[in-house]
Amino acid sequence: MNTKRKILILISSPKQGHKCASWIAGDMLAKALAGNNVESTIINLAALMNSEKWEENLLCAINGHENVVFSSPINNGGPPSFVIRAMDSLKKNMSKINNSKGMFAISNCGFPEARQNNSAVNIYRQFAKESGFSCLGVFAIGMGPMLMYGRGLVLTILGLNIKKAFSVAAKAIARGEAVPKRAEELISKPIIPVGMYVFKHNFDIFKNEIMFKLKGITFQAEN
Amino acid sequence: MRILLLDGSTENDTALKTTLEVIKKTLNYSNYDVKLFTLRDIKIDHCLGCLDCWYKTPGLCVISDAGKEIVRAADESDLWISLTPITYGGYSWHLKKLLDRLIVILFPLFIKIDGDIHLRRRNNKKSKVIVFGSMAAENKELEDVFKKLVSHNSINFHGKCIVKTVLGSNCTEDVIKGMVDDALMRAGVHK
Repeated sequence: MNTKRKILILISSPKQGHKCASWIAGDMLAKALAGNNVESTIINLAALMNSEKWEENLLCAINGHENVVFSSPINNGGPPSFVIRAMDSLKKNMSKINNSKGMFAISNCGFPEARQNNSAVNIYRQFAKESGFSCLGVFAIGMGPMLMYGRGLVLTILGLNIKKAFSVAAKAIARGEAVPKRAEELISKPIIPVGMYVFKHNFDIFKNEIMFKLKGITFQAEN
Repeated sequence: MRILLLDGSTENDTALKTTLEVIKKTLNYSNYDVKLFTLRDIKIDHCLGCLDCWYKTPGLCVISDAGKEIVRAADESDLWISLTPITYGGYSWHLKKLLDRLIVILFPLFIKIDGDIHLRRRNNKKSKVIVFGSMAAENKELEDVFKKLVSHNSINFHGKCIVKTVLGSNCTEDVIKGMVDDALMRAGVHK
């Protein structure tokens, strides 16, 4: 009997759906995995951690799958605080996790350079090392918002590198193997030229007059 | 000088406990405005990533909790001193929950610094940053990851950064005192 492998994708961003680059990246991986006879379950980690029994629920979710994927943005160079909290919990409860599991991570940032994810990549790898997950690889994506706002383009012409990288990653994950380095390199390539991305971002800021009215004012403005 | 002291340690981290005591004792002798926040005891919601503080209500965070007060204190401080166990090469989640909320003090315009795109503070203020990270035993690789992360972060906050690693295994109070004195001197607190 040919049983389907099961992968848990933890969307590790507080946002959800198509307004969330981490969700879109996780969804792209899920679709690529489906083509390799792998069933994916997508769960929003922040929502899961809102419940009182979140540690138990997280363990239960992980135990029901062969591998786990974190798809998250970066804040201050690392995964969001609640992801670190979840990692601490998993490390503490590793004895309750059945079999050895593989861990893959997708880290995206709003800056144009994928290398700004470097610290987050190291943090994921170190977490795998310390907790006992076997690290299947970490994807670092720059220009994260392009996955949302340029979604149509990313899924067609501009995102060929991304699609190819996810396809290579899915094949490896389906076999329980580490994702090849070339896929990690491929996904790190800029989606559009850096200058164009920066211009578009800054142009949107200039358009937003309120930003400049309040430029020198911080949250004290509410007083 | 306004000093913000962020204790991101866990309850049983004796090395950081000693470090905090030494810092408090050292700063008590001086006339500084010091605000201490023990983050593990304060309920702070994690950043929602909504970016409303950039685009909809610039400079205003939609979350009303203790985080707002600490972020305000951070924005007004000339020196930030943080304590954290080095967690997978990064910050503890206690400290990180506050650091993530600091996005509100940044202005979202992209600028190039040292070859990479960064952000700048809304008020153009420069805060120096001292981070004490604790580790159970020496691990150069992990220490390097941590130092790179802290120095990368401090670019966005426009501050000089000083990172000190406290080893849980063999750090006596004297050694810690030496580290604290050196860090405070480099930050311009001590002469």
